[in-house]
Amino acid sequence: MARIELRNLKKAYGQVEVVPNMNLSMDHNEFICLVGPSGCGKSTTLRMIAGLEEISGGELLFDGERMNDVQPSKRDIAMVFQNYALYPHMKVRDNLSFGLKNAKMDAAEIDKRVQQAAVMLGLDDLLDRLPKALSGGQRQRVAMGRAVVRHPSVFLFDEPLSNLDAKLRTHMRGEIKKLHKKVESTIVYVTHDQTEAMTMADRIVVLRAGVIEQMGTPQELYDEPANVFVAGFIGSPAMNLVSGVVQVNGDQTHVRLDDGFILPIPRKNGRALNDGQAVVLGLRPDDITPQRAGSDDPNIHTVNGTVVVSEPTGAETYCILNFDGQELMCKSIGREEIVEDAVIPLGFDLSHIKVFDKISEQRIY
Amino acid sequence: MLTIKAQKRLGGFIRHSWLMLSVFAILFPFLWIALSGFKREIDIAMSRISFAPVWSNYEELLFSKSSTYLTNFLNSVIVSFSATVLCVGIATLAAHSLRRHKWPIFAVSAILIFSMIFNMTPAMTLVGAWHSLFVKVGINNTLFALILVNVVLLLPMALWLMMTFMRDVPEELEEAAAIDGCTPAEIFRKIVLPLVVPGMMATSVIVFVFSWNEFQAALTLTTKATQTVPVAIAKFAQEYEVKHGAMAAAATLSTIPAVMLMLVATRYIVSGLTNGAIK
Amino acid sequence: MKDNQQLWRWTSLAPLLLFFGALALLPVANILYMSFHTVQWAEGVSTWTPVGLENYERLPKDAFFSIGVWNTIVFSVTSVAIQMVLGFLLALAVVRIKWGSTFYKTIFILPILIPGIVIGAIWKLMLDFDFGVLNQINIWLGLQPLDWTGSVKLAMPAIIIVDVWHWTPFVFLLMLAGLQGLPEDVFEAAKVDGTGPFRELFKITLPLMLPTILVTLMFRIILAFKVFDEIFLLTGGGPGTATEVIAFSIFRTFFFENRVGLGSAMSFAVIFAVALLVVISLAAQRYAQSKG
Repeated sequence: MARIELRNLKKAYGQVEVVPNMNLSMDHNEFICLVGPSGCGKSTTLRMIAGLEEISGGELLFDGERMNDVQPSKRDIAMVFQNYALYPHMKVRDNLSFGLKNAKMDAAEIDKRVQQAAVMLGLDDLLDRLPKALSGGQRQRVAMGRAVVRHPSVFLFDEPLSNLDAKLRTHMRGEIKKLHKKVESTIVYVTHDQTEAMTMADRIVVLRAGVIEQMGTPQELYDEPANVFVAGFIGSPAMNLVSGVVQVNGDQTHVRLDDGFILPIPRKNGRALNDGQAVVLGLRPDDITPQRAGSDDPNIHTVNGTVVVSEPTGAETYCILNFDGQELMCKSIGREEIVEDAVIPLGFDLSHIKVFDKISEQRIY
Repeated sequence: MLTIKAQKRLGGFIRHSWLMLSVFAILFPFLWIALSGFKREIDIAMSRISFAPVWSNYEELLFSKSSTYLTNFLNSVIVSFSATVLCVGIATLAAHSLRRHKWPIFAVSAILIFSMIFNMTPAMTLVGAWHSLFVKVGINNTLFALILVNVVLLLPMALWLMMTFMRDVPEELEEAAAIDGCTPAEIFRKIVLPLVVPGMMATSVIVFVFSWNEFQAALTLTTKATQTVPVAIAKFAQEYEVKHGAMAAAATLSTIPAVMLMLVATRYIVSGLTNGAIK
Repeated sequence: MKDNQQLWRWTSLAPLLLFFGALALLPVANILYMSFHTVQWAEGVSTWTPVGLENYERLPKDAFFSIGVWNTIVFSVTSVAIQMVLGFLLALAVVRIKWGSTFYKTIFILPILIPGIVIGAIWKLMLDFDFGVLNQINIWLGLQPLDWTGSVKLAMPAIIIVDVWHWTPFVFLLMLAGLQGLPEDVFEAAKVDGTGPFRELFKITLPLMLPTILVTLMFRIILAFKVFDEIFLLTGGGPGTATEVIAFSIFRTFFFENRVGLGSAMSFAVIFAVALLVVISLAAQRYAQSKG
């Protein structure tokens, strides 16, 4: 159990500031995901927490205790590496017990912990194998086992699933969530894959160029993105982001998109858009569906569009439609076939429209 | 037009013929000198292909009172073996240090460029300085001095090779070991060392062979008591009356380590020779 | 804990620095110092007289040294050029055969592994005027026997033949590694595009091999400057100065003529030239990389 706090944390290589000034606190037992594109400083931050990277400025606190100059092995952490970092010359059993032996732990206790971890992760039959005789998923589990046996108060994961195929990745996501329920530890999990972050995290921290763009629960980030970057990063397929100009006409507010397509903007309490303002409009594909076309709901706005591309996935179909020259990604729920070149009515759920200022890229509506 | 199959066969035939010709060009001189070791001086002078093999050259070389060949051989073994152990040990430590211990980039490149220049300089340029240094320290004409020179001569190559093998040890492993509570020395001993053993073997084979073959320093820094095999062979050829038979026998014996390594450690030798140059 | 780390960091590098410092840097400094003196030995005691740049001024006039430099260049360029062509052709053959490549590789590394002196001894028997195999063949073919190591015209070609025999296998190994590292799909694409074997060699293989070829070339040329052992045994630099090379000039000046000052000046000049070559080729490599 540990509460982690980063206070004005800074990392610079010479003149280059990878992480200029980070403030973040994580609670006991919380599952935090750091996400962002590569080079955003998420791994560097994690490695500073682990003690693998020297801290250039600011403070790192575990339960109020300053950790900046504490050896990694004395921080009560465990880390799962991207390429697993299993010692290739040691059997699985020795991989698991290596750290405990270094800490001169009692042999019986080591045995107990290794057994426990092996049962928890289904490694019983693999204990006497060498890492090279394991499959990718098994290696991943051993890497987790090596972390588990330490009974650490903080788990650090550095893109642990990026080397697995899609199916195994989904499976391991579940395993990691289960693990989190069994062990009472804070988890800091770094990934570039927003799906991983959305499915596992209690709280997500979105980073860009070493700066926190937004943090919050997965639902908050999905529904209330603070800026264009977060809006585009969270959600799959990505939100449609198109630029346009606000047109206020008495009671009615519209946004005219660059290609001429016009969408009405419903009135919200206390917020207003100015006539002529350049904006970026955000619409999730999930909120443009043929199923809701012609609905009585006042927030549903129905428009005809031409199907350009149709990508069926089975239970739902993603398709790109052309509305007066503007192409938008939409989502059709159900098994109904969407034929390319067909003209079909689509229901826009205007209550979920996001509006960002074009220059500052911050959300204004 | 030839069929594809016939074309392939013809290509294979031409390639194998060309390669077999080269094999012959390489092996024939060897066989010739090996045979010459069993010839009497008169057989050599008549360049006879069929002859009655004799052991006299080997007997003289190995058992005659005037021959120092066994001592020379022992000297060579001592020098090459000690130099290899020292050189590979030092190079392994240094390669790991230069790769992983965050030395300033200019320092690392300075060391590497210096060792490259040093590696390409003829040993002959420095024997004068070594000689006067060893005289001053009082170890001139000793095997110890020759070992030291062999170590420094082969360090650049060993360092270069170990740097390439070190690169194949994932940094993540060392980080994992640090989190698992290893000190830097323990990381080296428990994680890095076991993983670079194949690399150290390849480097050792190469260093041993080059040390065994070393001639320029051995020629100028030894006396009769400390001279190595190559120096002894050179002396056979330089005597007023060249003893071709004895020279052939001595030369043949001296290739034993090389031939043994060739048969046993081809893989290591190839990886050592190619890694040193192109990686 | 930090101290522990620093301690290990330095102990792991110290032996290398110690060896390089005491047995490489110090001798170079010593050579440089000696090159500004003449040293005379009398009854085991040396007298050092500073002479400024005199030794260096004498270098270009020294008959042996300037011929040695010229011969070394001729020797290196010719011998390496032949090695490159033969080595490449051997590698090309081995990379395309289905069986036997390990056998060929095993045989081919043999000359690299045996002492230069032994190679000298082997070829001393092969090239002997009276009973050498090469001359036996000549006689058998009805030609005149040739005085390989004893004539001014043939001594250098003879040395080059020996060096080609010694080092072509090394070039072969590097070229083979290079060829095996080439992307296979490019060749498959070329085949699909209907590229003939010669066009494939000149338009695809050679351009892709260029980095390997350049590195091998640089490696071999600079190492050819070190040649000494075989020459020592076969010709002793002669006849006359026909096979005099740099390493031999230095050896002669130090140990036969006892002119330590002049020998040091030669040594330092060679070290300087090698350093210059290395730095230039590294810079060229970096430039090429930044362009590519």
